[in-house]
Amino acid sequence: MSGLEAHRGLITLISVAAYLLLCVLVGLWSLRRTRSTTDFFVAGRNLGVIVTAFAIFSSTMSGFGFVGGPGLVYSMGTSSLWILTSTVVSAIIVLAVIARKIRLVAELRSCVSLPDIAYARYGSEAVRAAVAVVIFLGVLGYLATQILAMAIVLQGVLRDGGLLAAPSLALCVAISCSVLVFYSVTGGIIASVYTDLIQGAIMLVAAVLIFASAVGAVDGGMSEITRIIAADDRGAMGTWGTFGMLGGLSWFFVFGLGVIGQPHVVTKYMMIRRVRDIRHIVPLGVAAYLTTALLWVGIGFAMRALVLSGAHPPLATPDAASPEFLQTFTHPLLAGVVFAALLAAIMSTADAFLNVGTAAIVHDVPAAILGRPLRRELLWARIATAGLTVVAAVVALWSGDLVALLGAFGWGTFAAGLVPVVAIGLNWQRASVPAALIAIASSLAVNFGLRLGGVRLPYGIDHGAAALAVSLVLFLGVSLLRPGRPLPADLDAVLDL
Amino acid sequence: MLQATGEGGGPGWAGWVVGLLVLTLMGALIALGVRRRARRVRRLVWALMGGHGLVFGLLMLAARAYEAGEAAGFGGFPAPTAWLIYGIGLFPVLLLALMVRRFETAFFDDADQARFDEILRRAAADGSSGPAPDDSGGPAPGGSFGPASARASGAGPPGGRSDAGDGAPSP
Repeated sequence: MSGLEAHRGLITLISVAAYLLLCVLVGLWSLRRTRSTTDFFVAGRNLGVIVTAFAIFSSTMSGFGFVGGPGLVYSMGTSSLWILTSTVVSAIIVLAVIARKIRLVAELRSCVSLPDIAYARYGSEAVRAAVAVVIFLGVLGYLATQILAMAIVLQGVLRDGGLLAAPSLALCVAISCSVLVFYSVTGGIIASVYTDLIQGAIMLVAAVLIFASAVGAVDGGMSEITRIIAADDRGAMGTWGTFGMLGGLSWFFVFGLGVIGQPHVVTKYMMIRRVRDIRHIVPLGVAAYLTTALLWVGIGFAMRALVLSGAHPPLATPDAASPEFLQTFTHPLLAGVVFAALLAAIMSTADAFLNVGTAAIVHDVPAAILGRPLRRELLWARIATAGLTVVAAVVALWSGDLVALLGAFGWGTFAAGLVPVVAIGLNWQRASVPAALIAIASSLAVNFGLRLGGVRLPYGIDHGAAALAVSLVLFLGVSLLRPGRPLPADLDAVLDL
Repeated sequence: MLQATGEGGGPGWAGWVVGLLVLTLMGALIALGVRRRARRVRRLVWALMGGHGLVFGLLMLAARAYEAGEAAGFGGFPAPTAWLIYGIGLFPVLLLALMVRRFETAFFDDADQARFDEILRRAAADGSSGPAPDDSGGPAPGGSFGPASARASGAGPPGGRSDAGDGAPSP
């Protein structure tokens, strides 16, 4: 065993500690730059190209991508590639459908959140409140998942680093949430996007190096990995993996179209300095996301081949693919960087959710109920950020460890609830208030009803995809039957630009 | 066999229908986002989405051949999986390049920015929009705090709330 190998756990612990310290420093730096709720929620609408592109891609590539994704490839073969292969087309849809419109409406109506945008579009407090409820429910589930993933990663790091023999999950939740809350409370979205920049850079470097390690872990590279997996289960390396055709296509649908309903992604376009920057932000974000996705694919396939060839014992759970690969098949220094990247992927998504969830709680719900914003809204935003984290942490500790499935659940909730109402609504004059309310209600009823009722759709069709299809049909149908009234002249002119 | 989780993928015709329907929906959304006067860009969008549909068709044919035992492949993967990664996944890069290159024609140019600035000036003069809020949480001097306080202060959006109605406020 090399000298470095003997200290693998300590190296990882130091890397992770350095990364967490960096997050705290960014929080302190951004404290002085956060003077208003506009700074706290939309960074003063002054973000540049690189910061925004990195913020978008690192918020999208969550713990789901670093842990759940490789786990899906390990257990289902190529099935989850249907999620990844929707990336480019989904980015084009964002560019065409929502990016510039959301930015323009945000400036025209001084919006700081997606429910604000919905209110500006429909002129209805009911729609604003319904969008806020969708966001709150989605954020709670997704944030809880991220917190749980953060704690599981930290638990391993503390144990293997020799700092604590058996750290409890609750302690790890407390430590990781403390750092997250610190920079999210002090710097709001400014701290979030600048930590995203650092987190994104770490993720990019780690993904490229890990992909090279993964392909190199099996003699013969990708072709040999493919051969080993196909020899065991030909379907696993086919077009649909083991999930099946309609299951894969339903993922392509809900992830490809659903991105325009993800509040943590689309609200970033409200923060950009200039509309014309969109043409650079979108391709840069796509390139960074696809590069990072190499880790998802590389580890998943390599780990499956390594287990099948007897080079590694079978995994206890598919989600163990990433941690096991990093501990066993990577250089200790690289493992340290990747564990920091893994935490970065999780935290960058968590801080984005915290921000949109806090906006829903302290800005949108009071506006919908009271008809005015809260006094000292910035103070309440900071308190709500901490409070929301505590609530999500409590949920996380009781929800088990199904990282991948809960990640897909959150995505589907946002997609079904918000794609028709916000994305299509900003592009279609006939969209009406009843259509928006029915679409949101049906999306929640279908998505939650199917999952809570334990209903399995035929052929592995995703619940979120079914909910999105239902809400789209109802939204279009009701709007056609009962179109909305004309928009205010200024909004109409802006949406027509 | 390692953790196979499949449950059957559905009849073959359903794959064709669902796949082409999803691609058509995506194309329609992209075309909806391109402004009306950029007709040439819209035509190119449909042409490239048609190409994407063609790639999907090739994938479906390759998948059928793979299931029948054919072993051909390229790029390190069996043929249908290679079509998925390099075709379905990366073919839209052409469309993205078009969108980026024709951004001003298709979406937003300097004249649009000037029109938007003018709309903002008029909206500010009418009191239907305003500067960002300060930390007090109340309306900033000389302006409103977004839609909520704008309505509370009797400013924009013009027409007020319309919860009971069936659409956005009238001008």
